[in-house]
Amino acid sequence: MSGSKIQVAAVRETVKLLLAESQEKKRKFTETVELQIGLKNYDPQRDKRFSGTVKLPYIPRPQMTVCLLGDALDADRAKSENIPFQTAEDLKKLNKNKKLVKKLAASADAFLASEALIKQIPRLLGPGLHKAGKFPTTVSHADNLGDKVNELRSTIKFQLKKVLCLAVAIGNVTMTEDELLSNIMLAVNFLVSLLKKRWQNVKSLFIKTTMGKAHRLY
Amino acid sequence: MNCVGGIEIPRDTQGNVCYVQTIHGTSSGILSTNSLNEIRLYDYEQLAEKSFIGAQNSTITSVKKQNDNIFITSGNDGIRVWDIRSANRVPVQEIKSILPILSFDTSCDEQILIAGTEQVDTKRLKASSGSNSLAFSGKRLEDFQVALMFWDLRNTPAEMNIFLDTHSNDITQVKCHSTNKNVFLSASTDGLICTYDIEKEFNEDDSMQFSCNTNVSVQKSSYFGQNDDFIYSLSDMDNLSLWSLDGTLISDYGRIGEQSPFTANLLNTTVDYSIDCLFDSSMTRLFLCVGDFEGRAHFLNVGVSGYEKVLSLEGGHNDIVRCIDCDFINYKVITGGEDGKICLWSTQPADY
Repeated sequence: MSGSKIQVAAVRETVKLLLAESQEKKRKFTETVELQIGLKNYDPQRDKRFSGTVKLPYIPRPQMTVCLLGDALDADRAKSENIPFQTAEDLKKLNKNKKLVKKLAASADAFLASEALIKQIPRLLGPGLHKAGKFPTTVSHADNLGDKVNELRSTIKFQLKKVLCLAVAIGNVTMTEDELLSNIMLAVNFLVSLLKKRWQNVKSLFIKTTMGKAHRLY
Repeated sequence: MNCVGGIEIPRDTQGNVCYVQTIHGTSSGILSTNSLNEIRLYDYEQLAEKSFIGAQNSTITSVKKQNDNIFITSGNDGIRVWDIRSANRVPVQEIKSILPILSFDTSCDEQILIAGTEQVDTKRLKASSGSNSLAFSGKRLEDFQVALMFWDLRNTPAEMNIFLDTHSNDITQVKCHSTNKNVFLSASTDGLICTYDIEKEFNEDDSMQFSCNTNVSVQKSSYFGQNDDFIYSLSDMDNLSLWSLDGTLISDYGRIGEQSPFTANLLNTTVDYSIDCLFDSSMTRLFLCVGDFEGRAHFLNVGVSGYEKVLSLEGGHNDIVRCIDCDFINYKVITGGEDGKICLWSTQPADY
């Protein structure tokens, strides 16, 4: 059951083609590269739920903004690394006001928070960050802040809902062929590891840029 | 452990195997639900079917044993309460829900029922309900994706409260504390486990105490420990983590199938998935039950330094084991699987 059903050389050719097409017709924004997966022999009504997160080797979303909710030490570290941050005092000033918390949630794509501060967040802010799907990830004083930010930017989530297809962003067109190839191979192998019947559950695999056409890998 | 009894439940009308999805031991037999959304009771001696208790109109998403005779089930259409002494296939109580329920629990004094919903498409929901505005307990439901719903069970079940902001994806688990009637937790595919205390304030903005961000979709979570002093979290990709009640991470065991110091003792054991966590209160031990695709299942003791296999269930199932219940006093285990089988396992205390 193990062993990849897709050949690295073939995927490389497809990535080349995809990048060439994107070069030919340049867009005004950076196109995302998406992996689209079709499944078979899987019944969402009765089979085990299917969801997983994995960190890719190369950052697929460099433009993703991360804000730190920090204690004094982490706020200083964030300042020196040019990472946007808010202190406990800043959060207290929001006074649990729903509109202000919503505005805070909208100010970044994801949040980090110091160990000491993260426990106070429900009481300081209420559930506003929860609702936005942006409740922070813990960062400790021993963690390197820049690494933590990049970890968030590199992590992707697979989740199957009621239809047998899912799509996930695995890169963008400014990445090199090798980088995209590494991300695709890791994402595909991880996905297959989540499936009970491994490759027998995979119906199709496509890669596609935001505006480009879909290319079949499997 | 030895398989001392087994039964294969009937296939569906197309000849497909039915999955056994939940299993609970009671003094009057083994209560099980299956992928035809049926609730059936079997005896311990022959594993023969004793009675067909009833059914839910859609997938049974959660089952709770209230006491030896009363069980509660949930589904897309709401909550049903069953008295397993009666076999007339009619629930003793039914609570209709406008939102599809994935998980629920009742407070330890049995006065409040708390349910977590699936993530919903509100436009589609409004269209299907034929009304432009949805409401629950007097609150208009707008701008939300998922909800925690509260019913007062003291008389006829009555809508009591609703939280709309606490999660951003399917709420897969609701668990009430076993001794404090005001305390409960919710867990979700968004990766969060949130704890609440509704004694002083019973509103969304002030009831939430702590949130644990596990960063992975939570499949199962509950309190454990002698006085329910800890929380475990099991993800959809089989990561186990343990937390204190104030949201401090105690230990992250990582994915069960991956090599790590925690899984060092499992080198000769194939582990393809986790089944459930079980807590033995007499020995104060937490077990993670795991299985392989050929139907073997194992009890792993969750120790400080890692997992230790304490017993194996082999020779009963031949596909994924979906559910497990254990009587830690009489050393009896019951399991159900995707092979449509229910198995009973037993051992002498000395083996354990």
